[in-house]
Parts: sequence; structure tokens; C-alpha cells
Amino acid sequence: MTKLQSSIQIPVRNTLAPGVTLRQYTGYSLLHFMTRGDRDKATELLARQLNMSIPTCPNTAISHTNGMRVLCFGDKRWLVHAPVPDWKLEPVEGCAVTDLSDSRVLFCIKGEPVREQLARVCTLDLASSACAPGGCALTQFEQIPVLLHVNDNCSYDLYVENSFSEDLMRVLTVKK
Amino acid sequence: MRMSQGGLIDRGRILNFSFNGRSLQGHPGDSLASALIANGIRLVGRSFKYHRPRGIFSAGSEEPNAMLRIGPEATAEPNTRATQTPLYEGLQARSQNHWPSLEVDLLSINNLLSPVFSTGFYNKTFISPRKLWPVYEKMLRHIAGHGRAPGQRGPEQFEQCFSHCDVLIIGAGPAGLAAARRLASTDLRVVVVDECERPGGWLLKENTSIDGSNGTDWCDRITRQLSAAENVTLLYLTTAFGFYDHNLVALAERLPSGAATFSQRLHRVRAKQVVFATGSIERPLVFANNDLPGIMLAGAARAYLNQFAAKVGQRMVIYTNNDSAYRSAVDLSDAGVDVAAVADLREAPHASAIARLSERGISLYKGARIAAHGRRHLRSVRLCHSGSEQALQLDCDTLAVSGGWTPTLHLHSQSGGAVRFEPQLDTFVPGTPKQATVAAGAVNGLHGLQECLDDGERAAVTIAKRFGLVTGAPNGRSIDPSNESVENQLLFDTDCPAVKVVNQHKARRRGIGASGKYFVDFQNDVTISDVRQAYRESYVSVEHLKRYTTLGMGTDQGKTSNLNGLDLLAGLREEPVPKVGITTFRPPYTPVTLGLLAGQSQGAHLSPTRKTVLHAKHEQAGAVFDFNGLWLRPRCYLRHGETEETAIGREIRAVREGVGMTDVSTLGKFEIQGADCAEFLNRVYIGNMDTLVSGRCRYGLMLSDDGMVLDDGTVTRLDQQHYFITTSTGHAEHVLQHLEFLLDVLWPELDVNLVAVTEQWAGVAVAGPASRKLLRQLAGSDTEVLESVPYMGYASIELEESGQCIKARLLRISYSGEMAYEIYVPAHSATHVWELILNHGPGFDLQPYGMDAMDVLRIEKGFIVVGADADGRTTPMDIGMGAMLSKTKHFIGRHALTRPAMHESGRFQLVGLQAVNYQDGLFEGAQLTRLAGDRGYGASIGHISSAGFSPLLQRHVALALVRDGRKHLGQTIYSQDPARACPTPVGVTIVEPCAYDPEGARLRR
Repeated sequence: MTKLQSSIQIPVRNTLAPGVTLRQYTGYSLLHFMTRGDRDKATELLARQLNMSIPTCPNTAISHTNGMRVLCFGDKRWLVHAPVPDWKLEPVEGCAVTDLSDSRVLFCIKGEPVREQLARVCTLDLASSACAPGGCALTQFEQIPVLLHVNDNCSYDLYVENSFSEDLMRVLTVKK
Repeated sequence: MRMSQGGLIDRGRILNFSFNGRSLQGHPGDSLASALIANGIRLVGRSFKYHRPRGIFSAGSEEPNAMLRIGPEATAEPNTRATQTPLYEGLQARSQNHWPSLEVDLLSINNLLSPVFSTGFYNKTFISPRKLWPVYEKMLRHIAGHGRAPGQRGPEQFEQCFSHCDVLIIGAGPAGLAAARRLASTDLRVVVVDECERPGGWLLKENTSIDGSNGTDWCDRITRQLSAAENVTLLYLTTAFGFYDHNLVALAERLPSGAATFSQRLHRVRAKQVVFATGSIERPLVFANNDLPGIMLAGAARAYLNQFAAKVGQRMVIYTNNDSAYRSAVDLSDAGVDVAAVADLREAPHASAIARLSERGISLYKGARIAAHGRRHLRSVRLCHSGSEQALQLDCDTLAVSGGWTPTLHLHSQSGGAVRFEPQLDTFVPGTPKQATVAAGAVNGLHGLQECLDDGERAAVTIAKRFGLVTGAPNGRSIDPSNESVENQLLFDTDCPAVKVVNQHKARRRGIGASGKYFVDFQNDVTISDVRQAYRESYVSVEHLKRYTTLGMGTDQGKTSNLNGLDLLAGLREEPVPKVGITTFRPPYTPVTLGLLAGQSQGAHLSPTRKTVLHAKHEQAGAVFDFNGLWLRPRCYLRHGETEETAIGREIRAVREGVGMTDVSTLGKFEIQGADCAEFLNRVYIGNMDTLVSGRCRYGLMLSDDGMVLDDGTVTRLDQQHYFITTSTGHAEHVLQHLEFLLDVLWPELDVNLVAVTEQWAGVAVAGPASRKLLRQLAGSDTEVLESVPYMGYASIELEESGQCIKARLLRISYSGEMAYEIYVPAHSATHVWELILNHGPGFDLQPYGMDAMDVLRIEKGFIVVGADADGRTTPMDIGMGAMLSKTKHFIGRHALTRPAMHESGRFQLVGLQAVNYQDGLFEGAQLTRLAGDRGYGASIGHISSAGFSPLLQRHVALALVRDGRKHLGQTIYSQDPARACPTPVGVTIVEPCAYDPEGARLRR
């Protein structure tokens, strides 16, 4: 099952802003799901397989109580986040499924002043009026590509490619 | 000259600071300028060109003279305006642009030589002989008068942040505060910024009253209200310095020293609506010697008195063309300053203003012309009536001048908004906005306090309407009407005639002794004579005038000089000012440091660093890293006591004679799935990809639209509708964008699903004659599969170790010229696989090898690197791959290759190079010439694109792009590399690119 590590090693000379925590998830699967055909049909088939609603509007995500989360980050592109490792999707007609479980590190950054902290590097407007819980967006933190998911006003999940993960921690922290 | 009471300073605390090494004291609330004035410092700098003595001239961001170096000597920040620097404990300030000292500046000889240094002097004098320009440039840069960059990095920290709001209010003067107060009652997110330490603008500098309380108290009350409002953010000491598209505004926030871990912060604010409450700037008057220390703007004299309790002088004369300076006379007189006279250019000032002078016994001279006298600072003024030659001398130490007020249009203009000339005010005011902005207050040419407050309210209502909040919108409350009671009082009552440049009749000039310089632009030492000369030399356009004379340039960007210069030029052209036009306003409004623009992205953090999942393993193995794009990759692996050269040689031999392994995770990797993949690949690559069968790989070259090589890599058909393609490390992002563009824009009908999997699959290349033997140890039950994989073949295998299986994609492809396999595994298994291979390595003398060894191996084979050996001007024919071009299909770039120029002689072609003397070194970037003595422009016939030392061949190997290179195989040319201190040309023979195993027998074993 997906777990949050109790602690995370951040760059030696850096520290997190007071009140902000940064932790890393383990034990999950990420599957890229896309189609070049009929979007409605694709979402219907995916919804049937996952037994949950599928977001159809880009930059939105739907999370299920069982831990499944589907993020729509393009017109016909989704990222299926399953709360267990080695989880597979059955092939869906007219769609392509690609396993990206090993490609990304997933961080959770949370705390009262987290928006202030993220504003240093994130060009998005994270105010609740502009970016409600359940929103997601592909963005860049100081040139580092990040898929950001809004858990709530004080908590964000950040999907980042492996190679950038160490640098992202530097970016999310401040010098001591 | 600090007053015993009044002002907005905290007299209870002392702040120690220094100016040119002299210890001084001030108080919290002081600016550096006010503290200097309070300590009786008048001379603060020397002028740019003539090294004339200069004093503090203003109290705001328009300051042209008081540009100081702030901070410890080694890290001092130059050109810092004393007027905008809040005083803090331990502040160190130094004047600049003088030698040997501020008081005795030998370079002031320039003032005596000023007839020589007229406008255009540099352009005319240093244009020839051209060969001497480097000498001239060095000398001119040395004596240029705008400070010098610090030698060391300062202690300041720089940060950046991104902000968003519904309304950004720029300026917290009366109009800005009125707008903010109204908008605070809505649910809109409001940000209010002001460049000063506390809000209020001119309300802090004037004796005004609003609703029965003075202006300062009113500001404090409004500020408390705004601070308490959750939807309002107040930023002080923050300058909005740039306005960009879509209401993006750049703010420079200065944080008082010690308040945080950083001292400057750049905000990039995206605002839905912007209110320009930027106020206006007082204009100086142009008269003889108007730059002497002791002469300052009348408003500034008032500001130092009212806000900082600092008297700017003991005996003062005021020279004006409008009523606002009368307020200075009144305030200063009431404070005990001896105001000797008010000299008014007008013949008929307002009666009310005259009455206020009469009450205090201040003499008024109407229709006056004036000249200032003194050497290092003002000693006296001589004035006469405009119709008379009889002059009167008045001894004084301060002259306060006012030539009217210029709206601060900069940001409005930067936003693309139009400006219009207002004849009654003799200035430009904001016209039709281009972006979502509203101007309010003095920037609109309004100068009454009530008018400004009302205009702020009007702006708030306009903004609220745009958000649909006037009658109470669902998400917000409606705007309440104002109930403020404000006396009908003026902030800057500028009923001024269009006379700012005081043209003196010759006879009257004699009378008042007006033989000095008439400065239009203080910071750049531009005088009336300079403008006239430029006009005589046909620089009649305002933009040309600016560039020829430097009027309006420099760190103050002509805030006090532009309008006066414009008036002067209009007079010379005998045209109205609007017809002459106005120069373009460009960011930044006030100077910003490079550190602020860089923010956190400095040094090693200029761009992100990517590390492969095997990075820790490389570190353990003693890797020396280098960047390949953003990726940090091992260059070589050092063993104890080894040099890099030795290590690279060892690694190369391992691959050629035994087996080596290297991390190829950085290669770009994509998966494509769908019914039309073969068709898509056929259109993208120059070779036929539809004939590629499952289980096979193929080398592919893709071109840009212009027919030039874009990238190379491999295509592997995993199954009927599933491909795995690799690209070069440096071009992965570019290729992804290229392919997505093709699919989404050009060929949306193709059923091709493209996903980047670079990070999903880590790769390890195992290369060398013993590679297959080594992998047999890991293949377990898939040994037969491994054995059956042909050259350019693919198989899915399971690597086994202690009963644990790891699924891998095995590609038998080689970049070294040896039998080799690339093994791709899910990234989280990569370290395990790396260890697995390494553990089986000792029997085969397995060694990890880095980029440098890989480079030599591929150069020996004549394999290219796109970016080096194909540099964006290179076609497939140029690199000897013309045979790969399919003649039976269309592909991107094919049409461009039919252009005659692609086949003409004279193109740079890829060849190999061999040093005539085997011991000579060949290096990347060296230029190639036909003869050893060829030098200079046009001598080069090519350059070395890749080079390295081959331990196997015991010589340097190189690839080069040589003009018509393939026609000259066997010929000797010369490599010249003076940049590497190799002054002697090296003779090289042009050979085939492949220097090792040209038949490829070792690959196919």
C-alpha cells in the first residue's frame, strides 16, 4: 500500500520552512493512459475497469476512497495512480497504457505556510479560489517539470521524474 | 541640522552609520539622504562627465545626484540612491566617481575642459584609427563615472517568488490608499505596493488634514485597516519596476537588513487588474549653475522637513513657476528657516499664495530670473526681473526649485498604454490603457488632495465593476460610498506656465552673472548647449537627441530631465511638445541588481541537475562527473593513484579486449503504440521503418524540415504495434517536442500514442568481446534467447540472481564497435542489475567506463554525435549517410534535400583525421587550414568536431567537418589551435571516418 515515509533526507545545508513538512510516498503504481480516438469511449472503458469516475477536464483529478486517483493532464491523457505496487491495467481497446511506476518520485508537501513556500518556485496561482482541491497541473519549479496535485489548501502532491527529485528537494527547501 | 521635534523618525533610538569613513548618526525612519542632511553633509558625489560637485537633489526615486556605494568596500553596491535607502545600523556609504577624494577631485579638470567635451565628443574623437579602439575603450571604461561593480559577492540573499492577485495597486499615496480601502471591503485579493518604507506617499511629506486628523494619522489608520483585512497584502520598500504582457508586473522588494535570510526579493505578480497610483515627480528649473550642492527640489526640501525633521539649510531662496513651492516656503519658514525670498517666474502668482508669504514676511520677486553662485556649494543667488538688467544678490545656502510636476507614466507606458499631452498642465498624462489597468491620482495630472482621494475611489469602483461587484456580486460585497471629509486642499497646486527652461537674455545674463552651465540632465551632465548643438547637428528627433546627448539615460532614466529636454527641443524645432513626442519608457523603472534577477538560480543552481538512478553506484566506483546537457554523467572512473588519462585508457582497453559496462539511462526513450506506428516512423526517419520486423532494431536518422540532421537513435519493434525508440541524451526533449508537434498538429489522424519513458527505463550497456559470455551468467533460463539475439536484434529476457528475476529489454546494438548489448530495466531495478553485472565481472575483468572512453570508442569507429559532428547545418549526405535516404517514401526534410545547395560543392563533409606525426595532439574545436601559414578570416576550411587519444592505435583520432572533405581524402591539411596554446600548426591527413574495424566484423560476432 502507498505509504508516506516518516522522514526524508534533504540537502545538508538546507532546511524546510517552519511549519512545512516534505515526505515521500512509497508503494504505488503509476500508469499512463492515453487515446488518439474517442475520448468519451476511452473514459467510459477506463471508468468501468476502475469502477470510479474519470476526470474529463484537463487539470482535474478524481480520487477514490480506496486510494485510487486519476489525474487528467491533457486532452486525452491521464495518469492512473494506484495505491499498490505492480498494479496493472487491462488493455483497453483503442488506448495505450504505459507503465510509469518507476519513472517518478512522489512527494507530499504540506503545512500552513506551504503556499508561501511554493510561491518561491511555482508560477501557478495556488489560492483556493484559483486552484481548488482536486486540481492538478503540469508545471515547472525552477525548470524542473512537476505534476502538481492539490490535496487541500495546505497539502500538495508533487510527481517528479526520478532524475530531478534530488534537485527538487533543494528547490523546495531554503538555505539554513 | 536635525530639528528637535516633528518628523516621523524614532528619536528614541540611534543608528550609527558612516559616509566616506566618517562616523555619523541617524534614527530609525531616516533615509540615508535625510540622515546625511541632518548631519550637515551637502556634498555627496561628483558628476558623471565634468566631475562637478553635487548634492542631494530630491527625496525620491528620481534622485540624479546622490548615487552612493553602499556596503563594505569589497562588496559595496554601486549607484544606490541615498534617497531610497532606509538607514540601518552599521550602514557604510561611500561617494563615487572622484579621485583622489570627494572634496579634492583632480578629475574636475574636465569641467575646465568642457568646451572640448561637448556633445558627440567621444563619437567624433575615438572613431579613428579603429585599431586603437581597444585602447580607447579600456581608458573610457576606466574613467566612466557610474560607479564600479563590486569585486566580491556580497552578503545579500536574493529570492524570487510568483504572486497572483485580483488587483495590484502600485503606489500607496492618497489615491492608492483610497482605492485599496474601498477594495478591501470586497473579497478581491488586493496587493498594495509602495517603494517607500511606509505608506502615505506625499501625505507623509505635507502638512495636510483629512477627516480632522493629519495626513500621517489618516495613513496609519487606513494602513491598520488594510493590514487587518485578510484579502489585502501590503508590500513596502517595494518598487514596481517593470510591466509586461498580460498584466505581469515585476516588483523589487528590499527587505531591511537582518529582517530575513534574504535582503532582496523579486516578485512576479500576475494581476487581473492594476491600479497605477504612481504619483508625479517634481521638475527642476534650468538656470545657470543649477547643479550646485544646496540646490534641490522644493518638494524635497519640504519632505526632509516634514517627514524627517531635517532642515536642508539655514537661509533659503525659493525659485518656482508654480504655487506648490510656496508651501515649502511656508513650512520651512514656520520651522525656523530663514526664507530670504521667493522668486517666481510668473508675473502674477495667485493672491492666496502671496498672502501666505506676506503673513510670514517673506519677500516675493515676480517675473524673476535667477543664477546660482558658489564653488563647492551654493553661496548666493543673483536675481533680476525679466524686463530689467538690474540684479539683486541674495546670500543663501539653499535654493529650492520647482518647475511643475510630471506624472509618473513609466509603468502605464510600459503596459502599452497611450499617453496624451495635457496643455494646461504642460505635461503628458495616461491615455487609453492597453491592458487591464486604471490610473488614479496625481499620475492623471490631479493635484488636489480631495481630487486624488476621489480619483482613487473612482478607480476602485471601476475595478469593482469589472469584477461585477458594484451591486453586490455573489462572491463579494459591494463597494461602500466614501464618507471621508477632506478640506479642499492641494497637494501640488501646479498652475504653471510652460516655462521650465529659463532662457536668459544676454544682457540680463550679464546682470545676474549667469555665465555657468545650464543643466538639463544632472546625471549625465547634459546642458542646454549640448541640446542646442545636437539640434544644430540635425539630431532633431527626440530619440536621436537622447542617444546623442545621453539626455534621459543613466540610472535615473531622465525622471527629472526628460520633460525639460523635450520643452527645449520643441522650442528649437518651433513645434508644440506633442509633435516632438516622447521617448519610450522601458523597464526597469529604477535600477535593479543582477542578483535580484538571478534570484536563487545562481552558480550550481543556474539550471537543474539530473542524476540517473545509478548515480550513487558511480560515486562508489570513483566516478569523475561531467555534465551532458542537464545530466550528470561519469566521465571516467578513477582508481587509486590514477590520472584521468590513464583511467580512460584502461577503460577503452577493457571494452576493446574484455568487457566494459556503462550507464546509458540518460538516452531519450519513447514508447509508441498504435496501428499507425510504422507509418509514423516512416515519415519521421530517413530510412524505411515499415520493413522493420518484430524483435529487430534499426539505426535511424531524423531530419528537421530544412533537411538538416535533427537527431539519431535506434528504433526497436517490440511487437506488431509497439515500438521502443531511443534518442541522443542532449536532444531527447527536442525530439519529444518535434514528435508531439507532428502527431498533434500535422498528423492527428494517425493512431500513434507517444509516451516518454526515459525515466521509466534505466539502461546499462555491456560492451566488449566478452559481453555475451558475461551476460550468459545472468540470463539463467533465457540463455538461449540471449545467444539467439542477432546483431541489431531485440529480446525480452529475465535476469536471474538468487531466484530473483528482473524483466529486461535486451537490445544488441553497439556504439563502441564491439559486440555489445544494451539492457533496459525498470528504473527501480537498475542498481540491482548494475551490481549483478558487476558481481559477475571479475572473471572477465569487467570495468565500468565513462563518457570519455565512450567518446574515443565511437570516434575510432566514425560514429557521430549529433550536435558535434552534425551541427544543425549538416545533411545526411554530409556525414556520409546519404545511402540511408529512402527513395520510395516521403519523410520530414526530404523535400529540402532536393535543393541545389544541398548537393553543391563546398559543403562541409565528415571525414576522419590522422596526425602526420603520430605524437601530435588533435583537439576538438581546432580550425583546419590548407597550408600551415594560413591565418585570419576565410582561411579555415573546417574544424575538428570530435577528438580523443586512442590507446589502441597509439595516436589521436579525430572526426572533422571539412569543406569538400571527401574529395580530399589522403591530402594533408593543418590543424591550428592557438586557443589551446598550440602555436604550431599540426599536419593531418584526411582519412575515412572509421579508423577501427571498418568491416564491422567485431560487431557481428
